Amino acid sequence: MNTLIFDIPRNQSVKATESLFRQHFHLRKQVDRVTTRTYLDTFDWRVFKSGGVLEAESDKTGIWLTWRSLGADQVYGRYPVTRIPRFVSDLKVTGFRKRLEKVLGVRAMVPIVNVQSRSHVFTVLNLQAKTVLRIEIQSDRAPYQSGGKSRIRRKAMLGSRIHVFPMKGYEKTVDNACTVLQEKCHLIPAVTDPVLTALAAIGCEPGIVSQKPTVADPVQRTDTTAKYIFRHLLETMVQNENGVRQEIDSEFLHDFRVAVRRTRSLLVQMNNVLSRQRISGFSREFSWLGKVTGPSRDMDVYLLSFDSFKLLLPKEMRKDLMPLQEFLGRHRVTEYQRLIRVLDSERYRVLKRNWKRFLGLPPPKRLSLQNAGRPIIDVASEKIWHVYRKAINQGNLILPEAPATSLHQLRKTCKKLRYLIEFFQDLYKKNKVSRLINSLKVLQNNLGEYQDLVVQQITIKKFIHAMEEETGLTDNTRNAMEMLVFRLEQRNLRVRMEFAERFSEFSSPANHKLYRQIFTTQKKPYGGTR
Amino acid sequence: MKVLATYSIKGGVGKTAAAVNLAYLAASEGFHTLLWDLDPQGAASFNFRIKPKVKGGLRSVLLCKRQLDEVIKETDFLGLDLIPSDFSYRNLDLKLYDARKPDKQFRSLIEPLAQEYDFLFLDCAPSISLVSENVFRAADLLLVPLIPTPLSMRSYDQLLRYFRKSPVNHLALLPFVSMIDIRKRLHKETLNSIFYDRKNVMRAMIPYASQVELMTVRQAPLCSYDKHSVPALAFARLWEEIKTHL
Repeated sequence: MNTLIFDIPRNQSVKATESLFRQHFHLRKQVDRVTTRTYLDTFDWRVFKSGGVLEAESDKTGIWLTWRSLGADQVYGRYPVTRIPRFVSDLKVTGFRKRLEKVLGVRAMVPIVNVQSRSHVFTVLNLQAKTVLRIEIQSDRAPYQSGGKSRIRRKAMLGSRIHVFPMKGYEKTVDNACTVLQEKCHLIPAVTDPVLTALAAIGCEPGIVSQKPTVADPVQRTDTTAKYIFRHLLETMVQNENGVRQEIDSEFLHDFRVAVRRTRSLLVQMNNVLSRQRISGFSREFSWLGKVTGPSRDMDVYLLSFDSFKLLLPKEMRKDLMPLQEFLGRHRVTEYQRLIRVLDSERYRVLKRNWKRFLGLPPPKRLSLQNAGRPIIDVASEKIWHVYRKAINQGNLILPEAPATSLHQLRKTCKKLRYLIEFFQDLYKKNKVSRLINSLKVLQNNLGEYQDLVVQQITIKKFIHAMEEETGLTDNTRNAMEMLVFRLEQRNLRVRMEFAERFSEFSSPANHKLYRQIFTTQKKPYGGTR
Repeated sequence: MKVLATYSIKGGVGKTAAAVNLAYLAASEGFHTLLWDLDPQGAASFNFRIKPKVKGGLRSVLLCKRQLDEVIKETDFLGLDLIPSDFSYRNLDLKLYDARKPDKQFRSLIEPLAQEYDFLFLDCAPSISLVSENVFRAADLLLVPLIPTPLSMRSYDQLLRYFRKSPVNHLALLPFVSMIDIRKRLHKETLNSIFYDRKNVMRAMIPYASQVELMTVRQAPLCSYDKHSVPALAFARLWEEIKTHL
């Protein structure tokens, strides 16, 4: 990476650097700027993972969205905006948007960190008085987390640097400028990109979506391990709460709900590990939380699937589906308002407080519960093997004419199995467990799609009635929605037919042997010294 | 990428002023824009303070020794790049004759740029030749400036006759009134006949104004430094109207 950012040593003044540079280039000073740079990324760091940086730079003249490489050796695009966009679809249809869309998809651009900066801007001119290079001397103040209060203090400066902005067709000037900056101005090419410095300053490590709990000690007590996982899931819920409240991206609610679901699933498995008396109340409350957050997620899912719904219809009918999108949008607003009320409710606060307190209690010295003190690897293997056997038994009973409810039951069991394997995967050989997870995923995708299609057909029929009652429904829209139900039904039949094949792959002798080998015969943990 | 060419058989009708300002307006809206100065006089390049010189000359590009992308220069305006003119463009016709599929050379040259740019403006030299044919095949819109004088109208009619004989299906012809001086009786009278006889003439009209000529002194698009002037507002109206045809 050829960085075009140079750090100015703390013992060298900005003025001195500027005058040294001036000796070699014809500089024209532009206006000084006070800017706020807001670094943006998706919740799962898609920009960072693609080796890029997305920053919205605002000053009194406007806002510019810049997409560049990490290290700033390449600018992929710079785009004027009237406000910091949330989605790519908020931008005008340009090549910039299309390229950015490939990286971001439908995910929201979440403000991660803000940095206030004072910049002296210079242009290097050639003999025709044409700008051939832009130079910016930037002095950053301490960054602050987006959404939080600015912690800027008068002297809290992060240091200064020179940022060289090359211009296409004048590459030689860039090379000359970099040589002068290093050799004559005694500057060092920046080791870290300013975005990384800013993120480090707020204690944020880029690229990490949500750290999975690592259960690596096979002999650890099961109750201690369970509480560790529960604590982690609670943290995930709390971390996503802000994103849900601000409605930044539907993925925050999704992650929140997954954490709730995983908690519920593990609670069921921890019957003989944690006191049933103590956890039954929590099970009920998490079940309530899962239920009340469901409608908002449903609206998100329908809106996210809307384009694929349209594609299921003939071209001439697609526009007739638009009232459904408006209906979903309206109801999403209502459901999210309800959801925020839930997050603000006393019941939710009490649940979090009590759960946290319970998880913080030290493990009891005298064990009355059968599995509480056993090594986690034994209990985990037993549970996984048990749930796997249950899935196989349920699946074997599903004949071609079996009702949708049997497939739904199997889907739920497979989810439990997946959660268990993922919680405890670090206790087993990685490559073997990955194979199991992959084969399970294939079956889960089939079951998930089937169940979604079943529910979608029922729900869209309900939407037809609801829309009729609310605003009335034109014949065209009703026809389009009925056609959609019909197409979903057709797709559903195809997915249903694929089930037998997917299940036979999952229950294949080779897969079964692997489950047996890992979860029943493993008396010594992988890498352990029991 | 949409390709827009400012073209006229007749010279001195305001092609370059239109190309420079329209390209600037497109870029200022966030569209990544490229302007190709095809006129060997290099007026568009001059307006951006860029030397009218292509390293290796036109030959190197046409013979694919250099990609078109390699000769692009960034202007002082964000999002607006330029392929400078070169004196060797005067021999462009001859060079194209030597090439395979001479009338489709431009199209294949600009194809790789489609990923990067939203708009390509071609500022053409006044003529009707093999270069023009290349422009017609490469462009989506042909912007034809019309001075409301009989001579200018005559050249436009020549162009129409040419298209009747050799139609280019995808190309839309968008004439607009340029350098109009409403103090002149001739302009007024011709203007009436323009709008009466020709239905596709755009509503926006670019006035004859010294501010447009002063662009060559400031060496920048008029819309960049005097955006509230009458001609700059006229260019903005023209751009808005053009966008409705895209």
